[in-house]
Amino acid sequence: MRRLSLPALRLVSALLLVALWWAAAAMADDRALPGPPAVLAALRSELAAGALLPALLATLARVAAAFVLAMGLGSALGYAMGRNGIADAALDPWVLLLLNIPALVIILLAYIWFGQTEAAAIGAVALAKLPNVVVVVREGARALDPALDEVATAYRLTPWMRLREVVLPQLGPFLAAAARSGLAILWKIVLVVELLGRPSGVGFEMNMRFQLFDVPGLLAYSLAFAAVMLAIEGFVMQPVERRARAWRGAAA
Amino acid sequence: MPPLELSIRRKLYRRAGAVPVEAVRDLALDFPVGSVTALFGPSGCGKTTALRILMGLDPDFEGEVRHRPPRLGVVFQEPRLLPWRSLGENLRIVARAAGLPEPPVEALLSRVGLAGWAARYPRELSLGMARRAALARALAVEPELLVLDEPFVSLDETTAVQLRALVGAVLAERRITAVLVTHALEDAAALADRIAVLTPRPARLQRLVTVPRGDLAGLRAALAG
Repeated sequence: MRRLSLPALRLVSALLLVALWWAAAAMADDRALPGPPAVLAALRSELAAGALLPALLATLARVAAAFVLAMGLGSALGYAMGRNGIADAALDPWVLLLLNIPALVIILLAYIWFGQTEAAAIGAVALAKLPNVVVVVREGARALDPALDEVATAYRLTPWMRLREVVLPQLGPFLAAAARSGLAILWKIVLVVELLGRPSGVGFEMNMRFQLFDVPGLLAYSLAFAAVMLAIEGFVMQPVERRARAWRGAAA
Repeated sequence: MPPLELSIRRKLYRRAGAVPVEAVRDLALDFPVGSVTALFGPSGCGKTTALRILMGLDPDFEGEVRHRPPRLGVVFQEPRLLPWRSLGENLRIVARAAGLPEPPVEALLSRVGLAGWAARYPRELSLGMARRAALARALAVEPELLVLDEPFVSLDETTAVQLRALVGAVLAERRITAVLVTHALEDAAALADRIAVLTPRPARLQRLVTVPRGDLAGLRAALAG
């Protein structure tokens, strides 16, 4: 009964949100807050004009590149810092500094120092996300069970086997948390990067709509990309995380 | 192959701001091929420390371990199975690491009384069953040295007796050099043919007693004499 009612509750909640939006739009200035039909019309129009899909793909590509960079480098650094006191002491001030610099500052500095290039944009986004990944994975590395480490040593597991069979399953929940929170933040930073200095992508298109005071278009792009990210979260991230945790569900 | 030799001049546990604790001092033992040696001593005397050094898990000591065989099977105090892998996979992983082909998983699990459990996960097992599975994993590497660290602690009497009988049978049917750490005289007598009696901390070799396996009365007499 409870299982059936929870999805229904979600649906009702989402419908309520749309209804509130609709009601607010009906009361407000139509140019400042268009209702759902106007935004849907803008979405259809952008799709028909062939502008929406390339923008979505360009942004997705940037999100993917920055995500891979931040997760790859952040995981390696976090693991090293969690396992090695010297690495932790040496790199911790860097991580703290990066954690406390706003993403906007990193983006602006990257554009000033390296020009408004694709590499600078992706690098800035990855760098803005990097310290969060480092901190989460470092906690995971600190929590690794030394008893299982000894099993790996006693049975002479190769470094690759040790990583695959002993380390990664323990780091899994931490990597999943870093990835999910990372993705949620990262795509918003990518929009800012595009808005400030890229000639393509959802952020660029949103800037154009902002300049033209085209609120339906602005909302159409933002909602379309949010929908894409929600789909990735629901159809990719959550199933991967469920799979990684599947062994915990073995019946006792 | 020459026998495994353990020689620990000193093992200290250092902690920042605290006086170092000496766990082992002047402990020298060899382990003839096919022998079963029990490291016997009171709780906390340094037996497990000596065993960890023997296995190569603790390189921070003064002394040396010579002729350590490449294939080591271990039954730790806690079973330490990989919880995210099925029992069958737990066996296959260590066999692969030892460079062996596909191990006879079903036969090994059957040997320890876990026939049909290959697809099950460690969390589905009781402690006694998990210890059996850990023994099967140790056997999966076709060990040249089998190490048993207090394998019967925390078990109820019936389970401990059954597991002791199983380990005894396995040791009897395979000529594996084995080292057993225990503080229970019954375990040492039942399984070992050489009993290295260690002093309270720091562990030193008090005496090495050789008695036929299973001769508890003989062991008691030898220790009293």
